[in-house]
Amino acid sequence: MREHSKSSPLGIHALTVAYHRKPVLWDIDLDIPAGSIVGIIGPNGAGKSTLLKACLGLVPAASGRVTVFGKPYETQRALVGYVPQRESVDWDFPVSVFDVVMMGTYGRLGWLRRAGSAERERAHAALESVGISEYAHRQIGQLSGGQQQRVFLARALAQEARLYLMDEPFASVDAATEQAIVGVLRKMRGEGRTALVVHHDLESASAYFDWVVLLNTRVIAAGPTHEVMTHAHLRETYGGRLTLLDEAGERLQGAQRG
Amino acid sequence: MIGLDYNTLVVAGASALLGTAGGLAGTLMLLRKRALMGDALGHATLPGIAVAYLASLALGGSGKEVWALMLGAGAGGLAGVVGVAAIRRIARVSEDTAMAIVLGSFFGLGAALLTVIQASPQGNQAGLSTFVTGHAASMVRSDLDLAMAVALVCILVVLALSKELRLLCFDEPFAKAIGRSTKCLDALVLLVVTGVVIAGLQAVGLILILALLVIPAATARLLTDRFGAMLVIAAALGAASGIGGTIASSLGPSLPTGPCIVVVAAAIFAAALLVAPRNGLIARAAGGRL
Amino acid sequence: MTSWTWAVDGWIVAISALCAVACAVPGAFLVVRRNAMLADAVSHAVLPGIALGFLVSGTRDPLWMFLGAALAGVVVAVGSGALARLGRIDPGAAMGITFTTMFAIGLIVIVQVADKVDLDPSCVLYGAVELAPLDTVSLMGASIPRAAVVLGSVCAANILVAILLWKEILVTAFDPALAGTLGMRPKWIEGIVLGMAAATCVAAFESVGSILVVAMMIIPAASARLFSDRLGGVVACAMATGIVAAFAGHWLASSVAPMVVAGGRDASTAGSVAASLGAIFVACLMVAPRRGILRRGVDRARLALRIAREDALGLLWRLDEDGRRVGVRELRDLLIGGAQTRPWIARIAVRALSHDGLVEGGSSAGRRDAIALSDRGRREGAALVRSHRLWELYLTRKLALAPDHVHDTAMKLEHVTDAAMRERLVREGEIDLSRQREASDPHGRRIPDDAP
Repeated sequence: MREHSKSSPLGIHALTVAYHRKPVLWDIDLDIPAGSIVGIIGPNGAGKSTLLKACLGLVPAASGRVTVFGKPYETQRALVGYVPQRESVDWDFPVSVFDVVMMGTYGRLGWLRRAGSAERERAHAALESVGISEYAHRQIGQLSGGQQQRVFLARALAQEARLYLMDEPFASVDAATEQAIVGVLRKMRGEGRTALVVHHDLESASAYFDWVVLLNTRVIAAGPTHEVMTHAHLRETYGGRLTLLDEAGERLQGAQRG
Repeated sequence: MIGLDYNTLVVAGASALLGTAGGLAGTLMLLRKRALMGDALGHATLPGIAVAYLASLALGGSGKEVWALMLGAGAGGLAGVVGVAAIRRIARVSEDTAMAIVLGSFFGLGAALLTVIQASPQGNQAGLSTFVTGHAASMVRSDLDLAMAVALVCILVVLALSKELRLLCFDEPFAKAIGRSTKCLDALVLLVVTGVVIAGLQAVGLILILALLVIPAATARLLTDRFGAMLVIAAALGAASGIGGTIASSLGPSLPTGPCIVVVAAAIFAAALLVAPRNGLIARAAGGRL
Repeated sequence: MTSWTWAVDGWIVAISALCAVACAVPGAFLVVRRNAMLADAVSHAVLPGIALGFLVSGTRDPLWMFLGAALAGVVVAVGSGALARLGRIDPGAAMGITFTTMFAIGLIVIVQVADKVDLDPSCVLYGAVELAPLDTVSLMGASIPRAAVVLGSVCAANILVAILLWKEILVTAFDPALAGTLGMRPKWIEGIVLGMAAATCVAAFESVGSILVVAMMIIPAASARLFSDRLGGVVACAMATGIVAAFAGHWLASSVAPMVVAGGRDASTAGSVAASLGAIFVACLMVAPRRGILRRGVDRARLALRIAREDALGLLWRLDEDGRRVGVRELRDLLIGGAQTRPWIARIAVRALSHDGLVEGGSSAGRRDAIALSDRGRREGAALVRSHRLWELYLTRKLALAPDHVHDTAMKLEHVTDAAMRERLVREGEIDLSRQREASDPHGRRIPDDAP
């Protein structure tokens, strides 16, 4: 049995997601090192977002388990922050930027309790650190795409988590936002926090990430960026899938569906 | 002119409370993108009412026990909601198809039972058909109490769970990720809506109750870009429509109160659609955002 | 209770059936386009439409009622779309606002004119198909109920439009964007189908009632959708479903209801038809191929049984490899404990093995006797174990998984692996079976040969 480090912010143990819809993930086994910025890189349909969602319990896992600092995720939710894809919500929704960022403090507040001045301060600090304080009282639909992405980032910061799971935060944002996000990520790392970032731009990956997971329905390689981003690994990640495994996976799903 | 007698006060009070509850519950449904669920729920109450009446007769009652009819209505409505969820999951059809299936078949069953009941000697006086199109003028003190209870529950739920409900409506996956049970929250919202529908049967009937759930909420959305403000405005507009409709209906000799409430609510909506400060047609046309 | 007479009841069923057939085309389109609640919105517009017709004409002339209802239907269909766009409101909410407002206005008008003319809202809502045979017109010398003529014409018109515009309707229902690129004007097609829906609602309200037409339009199409994946099939099945419901509904209303309920009068036929449609939908949900509840249950049990049977074969083969033998009860316990098979499935699976001649011994007389694989059983067991061990090797190589991680996945994959896939496993896993070291799985077990 492979040893899993107890201190790892995120331990993924033999996680398989075989699910009514594709993509499936085969037996993912990872230990994310603490205090690092980790990129998950792979082609479209490789299951990058599904991996994050399975870690958060948003899609069911067929087998395997997820630990956060050595304990089951369900007991450690307060230590995990989440940045979903920007398209996952309706930006016409009647809330202000500040309201959305405040949502990051709800996890620790629990049911029924109201947010107080401590929570408001946290939200303001989070807005400040992504550089959109001046828009705090705008309705979220009035922001540009990049600014909306920063709102989600600020909400995650307000969670004051130790581990962050981010789904494509760099997708179609302006250069200023990209730099703001990178700045935030580096600051987090300086504070010993860990970020797991779904990304699909190979060019910038080497510059942003300390560690990289190459994913295409299975883990091709995982480790320090300069070791992992080799030509051979990338070709394996992007060049063709294991059609035999895909086919077997489809048959398995077909059999389950009946 | 406006006869402010005891009866009118009861009707106006009950309508205002009902409007408040409808505005609050409707805002949640609108933002959850389930505006028409109130319609399926409303139509599904009819067989519940008919069965409750028959059960009451069978058990030796008079069939006029209002609490029994309301209980039946609630059971029918909830069965409809569960039916919509079950059909969606099992048949894998879209929510609107599931709603139309439940609405049509439940209402049909109710209509069939109603014709049978009305043909029976006692049935003619039972007046069950007033629940279809409502009969506000016959509201009594107990209807006022029911509306008050429902409005109170709505206000309490919204006050106690405002941050959970905001999260549920805006970003369900995030709510799940931080450990909130979105299933429980959804169930709670639907229970509250069921309460509003039951309380509204007497005043506006099971067809027009949808109006109280949708129109004030949609008007409030035009007037504000904030969740909290939207709840407050929807509740206020619902109450205003209730009172306004009652007054309007007392202006003519035979103006039915329920439809008057709906028309007043719709008039406020139309006005807001035109002149709302940021989202109104005029403001948007002036800003070139049409 | 009245006895069934074809001159009356036959017409009632025929009118309901015509209504169902007319509803099938727009209904199927609305279900496929996920716009089913539009039928509800349009049908609620009938009442205000009739009120409008009366206000304008001052008479109860059916023609004016139809005109008013048709206009109101179009106003709801077009108006709620425009409202959603202009006001940037959720389409469902826009529909709700439009039709409830119109319905309220309709009720107010009807109450206003109640002393001048008898417009009973409940007649509009539930319809009065029972009375339809009394209102006849003379057509080519024959006396035919007016409702049958009206619904028959709408029916014919709907079918004609469907035939003429079939491929346009098909493409628009499937993918409006594609229809646009093909130059088919999807907006127009959508408008035509919505017009069909509105006309059908209006024509139907007298007989089945304005709200029950929702059931007529959506439920047959949704039931048919469970049986057919093609729009044509859905329309045809929906027509058949509607006709069956027309019969069943009227029979329930006129023959069953009076017997069940004291007082003894008929129930509303339209209501019964709608309720029957609901029951038919539930029945379809039970028995539908592929998506039906029964079928899914049977498939699931069959799959579990097949897997348990194969697991048992693999188990016996591996025990044989170690030179061990077990009895029936022990095999069952191994299946239940090791492979997490449910007890009753394990019992049937073990019995099936001897029934199929895959094992020898372990007769019911001697439950503790050791059982042995027959030749055929050994061949099948070998194939399974071969699949399992090839997958383990493949997964350790191609996915770089640790040897202690591959067993569970291989356990699942072995059941979907046939001889062709085993060959590909050898080829694509670059497994050289002739070399001694590679002819064993990651745990050092030998990979059995495929039987010829």
